[in-house]
Amino acid sequence: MAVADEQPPALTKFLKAVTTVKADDATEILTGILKRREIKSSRNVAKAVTKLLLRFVSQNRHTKLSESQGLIKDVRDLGRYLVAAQPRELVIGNIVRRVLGVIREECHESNTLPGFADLPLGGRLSRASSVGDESTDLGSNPGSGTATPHSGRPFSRDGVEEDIDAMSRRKSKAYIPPNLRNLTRQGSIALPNANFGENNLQHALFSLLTADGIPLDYSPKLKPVESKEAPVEDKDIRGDVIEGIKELLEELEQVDEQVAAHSETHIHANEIVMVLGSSPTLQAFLMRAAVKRKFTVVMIEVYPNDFHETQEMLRAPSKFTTPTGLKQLSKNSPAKDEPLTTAEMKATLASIGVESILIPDSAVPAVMSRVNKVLMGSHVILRNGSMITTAGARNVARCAQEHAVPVVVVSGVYKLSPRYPFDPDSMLETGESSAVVGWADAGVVGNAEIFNPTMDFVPGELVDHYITNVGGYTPQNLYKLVEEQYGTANDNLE
Amino acid sequence: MAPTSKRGSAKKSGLLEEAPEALLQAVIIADSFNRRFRPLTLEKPRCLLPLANTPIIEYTLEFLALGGVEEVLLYCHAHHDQITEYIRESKWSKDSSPFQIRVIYSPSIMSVGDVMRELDQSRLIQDDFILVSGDIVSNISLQGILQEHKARRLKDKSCIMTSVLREISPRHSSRPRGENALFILDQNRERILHYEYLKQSDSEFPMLLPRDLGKSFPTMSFQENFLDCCIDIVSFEVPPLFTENFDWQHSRKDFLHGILMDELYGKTVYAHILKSGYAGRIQSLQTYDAILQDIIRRWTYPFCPDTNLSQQTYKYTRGHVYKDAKVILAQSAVILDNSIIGAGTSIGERTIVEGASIGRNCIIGKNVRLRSAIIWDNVVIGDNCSVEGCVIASDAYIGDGSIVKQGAVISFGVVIEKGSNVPSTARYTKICTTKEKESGRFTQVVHSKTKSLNEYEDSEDDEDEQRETAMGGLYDPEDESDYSDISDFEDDDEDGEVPGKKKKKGHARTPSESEADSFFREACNSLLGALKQSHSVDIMILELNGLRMSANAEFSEVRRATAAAVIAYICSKVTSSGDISKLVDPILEKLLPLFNRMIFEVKDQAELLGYIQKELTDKERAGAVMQAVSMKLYNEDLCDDEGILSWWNDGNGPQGETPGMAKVREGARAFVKWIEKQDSDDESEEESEEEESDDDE
Repeated sequence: MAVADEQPPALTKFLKAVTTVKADDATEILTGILKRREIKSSRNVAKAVTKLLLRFVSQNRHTKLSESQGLIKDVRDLGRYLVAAQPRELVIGNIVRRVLGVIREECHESNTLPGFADLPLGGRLSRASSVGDESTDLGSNPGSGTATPHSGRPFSRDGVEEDIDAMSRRKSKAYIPPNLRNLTRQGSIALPNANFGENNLQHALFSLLTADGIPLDYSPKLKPVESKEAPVEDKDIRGDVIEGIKELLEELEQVDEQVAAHSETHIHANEIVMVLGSSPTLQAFLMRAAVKRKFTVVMIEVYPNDFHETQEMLRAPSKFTTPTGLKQLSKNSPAKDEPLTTAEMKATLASIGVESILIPDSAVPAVMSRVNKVLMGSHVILRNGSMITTAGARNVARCAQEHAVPVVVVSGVYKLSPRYPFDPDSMLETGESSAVVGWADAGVVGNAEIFNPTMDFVPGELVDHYITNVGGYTPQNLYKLVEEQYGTANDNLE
Repeated sequence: MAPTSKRGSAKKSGLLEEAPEALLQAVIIADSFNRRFRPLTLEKPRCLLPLANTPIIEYTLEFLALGGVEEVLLYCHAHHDQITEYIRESKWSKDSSPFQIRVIYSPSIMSVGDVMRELDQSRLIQDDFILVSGDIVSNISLQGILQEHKARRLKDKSCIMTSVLREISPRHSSRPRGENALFILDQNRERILHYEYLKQSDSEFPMLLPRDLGKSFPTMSFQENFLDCCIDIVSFEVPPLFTENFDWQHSRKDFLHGILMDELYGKTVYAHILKSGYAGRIQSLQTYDAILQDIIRRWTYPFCPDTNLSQQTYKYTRGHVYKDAKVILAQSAVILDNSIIGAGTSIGERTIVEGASIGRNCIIGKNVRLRSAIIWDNVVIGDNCSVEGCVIASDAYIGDGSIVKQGAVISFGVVIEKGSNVPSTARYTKICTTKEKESGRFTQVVHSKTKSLNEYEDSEDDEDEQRETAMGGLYDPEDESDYSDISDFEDDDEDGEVPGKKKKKGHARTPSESEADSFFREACNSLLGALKQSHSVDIMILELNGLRMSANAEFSEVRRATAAAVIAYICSKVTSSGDISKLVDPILEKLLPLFNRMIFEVKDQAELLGYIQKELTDKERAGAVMQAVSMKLYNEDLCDDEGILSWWNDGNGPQGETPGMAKVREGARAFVKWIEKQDSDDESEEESEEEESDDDE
C-alpha cells in the first residue's frame, strides 16, 4: 500500500500550492496540470479536484444558508471549467457533483421548514428509503443480476444474494458517513417522500427527462423561503460543507481498504485469477485476499502502453524482485504519473508470496479456459453499467464471456459517473503514437495511420460484478448507486 | 576583472551546496535569426505563428512547464512588441503560471551568441539552465535529463552541457533538409567528442579533428543520423565562455564545435539520446509541415489539438480528426483523416478535406479540394478551388476556381483573384519593406513575375503591393546560408547592418578565406561592440590578445582592426557641429593602454595613422577627426614627431592614396605643419603651447 501513496511530482506540487494560493490561481494550475496530463490516474485527479473544491468553498463569498444557491452556482461553474479542461476525465465531474450534493444536503439539513421536506435531494437522503428494498428487489428478481445465468460460476445465485445482503447490512452501518447518519436520525427528513423509494426507477427516469430543462436547484421554491426566513435563522453552512468535502477526501484515502474488505468473499482458495491492468485498488484487493487465501494471479501485459517496462522486467527479473529495488529503478527513469505498472504490481505481489504469472495479451484466449475469474480495475464506471478502463479490457472481457468466466471490477465509488455513454468514443483518450512504433522509423511515420487508445470502453453486458467501497453491484443495478451518490439533481457540467 | 571572481565564487557555492533553493531556469530564444519563414515573418514573429491553430510558443512553454521549470527568460528581437504583448496577455503571466516569465528585448541580439553574452551580463542565471529556442515542440520529461546532468556535473566538473539528440532515419520527413551535422560520440554514446556542421554544397570539405582524439578514445561512434532537438541543459559557465569568444554566433556551429576543437578549454559536452518521447524544432517550412503532421498524428501527446492549449474546445474523433465547436459542415462535405478544423469554420457542399489544418472562422466554398494544406484563421476559399500542401496565412482570400500548388506560401491578407493558378514557388505577401526593395534580390524576382503580380494588383487597393520573395521552396533545401545573423525582422538602425553583412560572409566557413581577413573582421566587430557597450579597456585588450593569438595575426593587422573599430565608433558619434577634439579626446584617453600595446616603433605609428586615415575616407568631417586623433596621440606620447612626419611624408602608403584619403590628410595639414615647425625649433616649451592649440581646435 506504500506504493499507492506515491504521487507524481506535479500532484505533490499542486497539493502544496492549493493551500497557499488563491482558489482561482489554484484552478488555473490544476487545469494546466490536467491538460499536460501530468496526473492521469483517476484517483489522483479526484484528490486534486477535491482539494481544489475545498479551497474554493472555503474562500467563496457565499457562506450563509440563504446564499447557498450562489455557492452551488459557483461550484458548478468551476466544475464546468474543470470538465472543459479535460473532458475525458469523467472523475472531475463526479467529484464536483458529489460536492454539489454535499452543499444541497447541508442546505436541507439546516432547513427544517416543512416546505422543504419533499425536496428531492441529493440521493444520500433518498438512500435511507432505497436501502431497504434493494436486497429484496434483487432477491426477488434474480434475473437482473448477470452473475446468475451462467451456472457453474464461482459465485452462485446464493452467493450473490449473500453478497448483497451483507452489503446492505454493511451499508446501513458502516457506509453512511457520520454526517449522513445524523441526517437519517432526524425523523422529519428520513422519508422525504412517502412513495419515493418505490418509485425509484420511475423517479430516475422522470428526472432524466426533466433534468435538462429545469434548473434543478429548486430556486423557485427556495427563494420565497429565503426572503421570509433569512433574517431569522441564516445559518453559516460553510463549515458543514467543508466537513463534507473533507469526508470525501477521507473516502478517497480509504477506498482501497474498503474495497479490499470484500476480497475474501470473492477470491477463494486455489483459484486462478486473471488480472488486467494494475491499480492501487486492485493491488490492495489482491494483497488482502492473500492474507488468508492462496491463489494464483495471471497478469496480462498490455501492449503498447504497459509493455516496455514489463518487457524490461522479464529481461532482468532480479531487479524487480523487491519493491525497493524497483523503486530505485523507477526513480532513475523519468517520473511518469501512472502510479503503478504491471511490473511493479507483480513485484509487490511476489514480495508477499503470491504466485503470479505474466502473459502477453495475445495469450489471453488460450489461458482463459483455465481461469476462475477475471479481475479488473477501472478508470470510470458509467451509469448504465459500462465502464472505461485500460485498453485491451474489452477483448479480455469478451473472451471471458465466451468462456463463461465472470468479470469482476474493483473500483472506488468516486469513479462512478452519472453520465450515460451516448458516444463512448468521445470519452476515450487516444495516447501517443510513439508507444506503438518508434518515431525514428521513416517508413512508418506519415505512411501509416497509428492509433493508440489508452482506454477501452467495456459495455455493461460484459461485466458481471462491480465491487465498490459501498458494496457490490451488478451493472444493471448501478443506477441505484448513481442515485445514492448524486441524487436526482442533474448538474449539467459538460 | 571583478566579474570573473564573482562568477568563480558563485560556482563554488553552487557545487558545494548543490543549491537546492535555486530555481530551475530556462532561456527561450524567441528569434530564429534567419529568414526561412519569410514572407510570413514579415508580419508576425515565427514563435507566434499558429501550429495546429495554437501559437508555436505555447508548445515550448507547455514543454517547459511539463519539465518543472520555475523561471523563464524569453529573449526576443524581431517583433518583440508582439511577443511581449502576447506573453503579457497569456496565462503564463498570471499568478497561476507554473513559472515566472520575463520577456527581455535587446536590439543588439543578432544571434544565439549575442543572447548568451547578454545573459552573461544580466547576471540572471544562478545555476545550470535549460536553453531552447522558441519553436520547440516536445513532450519529453526534462526531470530525468536534468538529474542525469546534475549527477554528471558532480562527477565531472568540466561537463558544461547536455544536449538532447534523437536518432532519426535519413529519409524521415521531420528531418530538416540541408541541415546535417556529424556527431562523434564516445563508446557509450554519452559524451560528444566532436561536432561538425556539414554543408550540403561542399561535401568534399575535409574535416579537422582535434589532435589526440584518437589516442584518448580508441573507439568512437560517428553518427550523422541525429535530429538535433536544440534542447540543451547548459551550465552557468557557458555564458561567460560566449563573452570570451565574442565571435561565437551559433550554439552549434560555433560554440559546440569550438569548445570541442580546442583542448585548452578542457570542457566536455554530453549527449542525451532520446529513447522515447517527442522532440522537434521548427527550423523551416518543411519541418513546420512535418511537425504539424506529427502533432495531428499524436506523436506529441499530450500536446495535441484536443488538449486545447489556448482556450479552444477541440474534440477528437477517430482517424485523427479534430473539430472545434461551431464547425459547420455541409452534408456532402467529406472530412478525411488527419484534419483539424477550427471554431466557426464552415465548409461547403462536396468539399473534400484531407489531412488539412484549417484555422478559425474560415469559409471554405463548395466543391473545394483541400489536401495537406495549412490554412490559418479567417481565410476565405472560393468554390471549385484546389489547394494542396501550401501555407495560407490569416485573412487571405482565394478566389473561385483557383489552383494553389504544393509548396506555395500566401501571407497575411493576400487576395488571389478568381481562376488564378498559384505556382509552387509562389511567395505572396502584401508587405513590402523598403529594405527589400534596396536589397535588390527581391526586386529582380518581382520583374520576372510581373505578369502574375499584375493580376493580383488589379483586385487590390492601390497601396497594397504584391511581392514575391525569393525563398527556397516549402520542401526545398535552403539555398541560403542558414543561421545567418540576420534576424526575422530587420532593424532600421543602420549600424547593425555593416557588421551583420560581414559576419554573414564569415559564416560561409569556406577554407579559402584567409586567416587575416577573418581576424580583422572579428577583432573589428568585437572592439566596436565593446566600445558601444563601454566595456573596460582591460577587457578589450584581453579579447584582442586572445584573438590575435588564436589567429596568429600580425600586429599590423591588430592596428588595422583597431583603427577601423575606433574610427567607426568615433564617426558614429560625430555631429555636423560641435567640438571634434572634445569628442575624440575622452575616447582615445580611455583606449590609451590599448594603443600602448600595439605601437612599438616609429614605423608602427605611421602605419596606425595610415590606417586611421584610410578608415576616415569619405566620412563626415574626416579632416577634423584626423587632426584631433593625431593630436591626441601626439599629446599622449603615443606618436612622436618622427612618426607623424613619416606618415605625412610617406603619404603614398601601401595601397597608394586615393583622392578621398588625400582629403582626409589635408585636414591634418595645420597640425603637421606645426609639428614640423616645432621639430625645427626643437624647443622644450612645446607642452604649454600644445595645450593652447588644443583649446583652439
